[in-house]
Amino acid sequence: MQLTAEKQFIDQIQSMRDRIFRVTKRILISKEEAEDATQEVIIKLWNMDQEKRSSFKNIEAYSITMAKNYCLDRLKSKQAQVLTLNEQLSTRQSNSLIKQIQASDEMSWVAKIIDALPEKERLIIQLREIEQYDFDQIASLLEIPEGTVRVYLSRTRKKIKKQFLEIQEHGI
Amino acid sequence: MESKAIATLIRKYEAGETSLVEESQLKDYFSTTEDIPKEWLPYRAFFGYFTEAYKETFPEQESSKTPSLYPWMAIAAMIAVILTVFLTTSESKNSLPPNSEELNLAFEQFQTNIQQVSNHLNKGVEQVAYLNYWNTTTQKLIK
Repeated sequence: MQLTAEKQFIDQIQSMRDRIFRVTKRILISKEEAEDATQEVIIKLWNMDQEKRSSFKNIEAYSITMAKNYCLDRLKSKQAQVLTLNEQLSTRQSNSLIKQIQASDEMSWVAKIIDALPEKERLIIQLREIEQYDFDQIASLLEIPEGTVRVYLSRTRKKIKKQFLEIQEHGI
Repeated sequence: MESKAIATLIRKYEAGETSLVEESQLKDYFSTTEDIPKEWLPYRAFFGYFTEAYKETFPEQESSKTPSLYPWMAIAAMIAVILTVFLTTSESKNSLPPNSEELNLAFEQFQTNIQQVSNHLNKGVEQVAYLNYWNTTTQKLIK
């Protein structure tokens, strides 16, 4: 009986792995770091005792929350180290972003605009637009009210559009 | 869908008020309609990108599955070779003392056998390195 439970869990993990990977990659940007983070989350899930595991009604939501927290912690410790440097660079960066982006096609403009957003906005876009989560799922994942999710989302959508138009204008 | 309805959906979308169903209607519209107003071009790029991004999968690790067969094959080959060496030597023990021609032949055979063993052993060692890597990761998982 234990074996079938294990097998079930493995199947579950397989199906969640891609989603965890996409979400961690959106937060961490780096593909390698996202791979590590995904493995880390899966190991944590695996090490959890079975009772605890089965008591989670929605293991996917739980694992995405875990992935999110793990990545935000990673970012925090990284940012602490390079904060001053980043502040110096931030003005120059937005200019070079436009230049860098103009070279590629419109769909990769979108990718680059999203990846240049603050991590909370990146995450909310990933969860809604790409993973297609409900508002209440996102609200419980991010531990904010549903109304706030809508406000953030609306603001971020407008922001992406504004930046897109800026690139278009500066472009060819 | 007519463009008036799309315009309404876009307004709702920007305000964060569309449902998932409405958002997939927008996705469908922009992926299937060639002629769209110029001011809607950004949305075509947005929804196109969202659809593409959803297809991304966790990269498969190359080392985990395929090579794990090779070490066992090398080990099996090694055992087979050792067995033949053992059998041929033990057989000759039972017979009369061999003459020098037979001794030479036996020595040559022994040499080629040993050569093969060493080849397989080296192959095996290379591949077993992978196996160890694989073992440590699975151990982590199983713990």
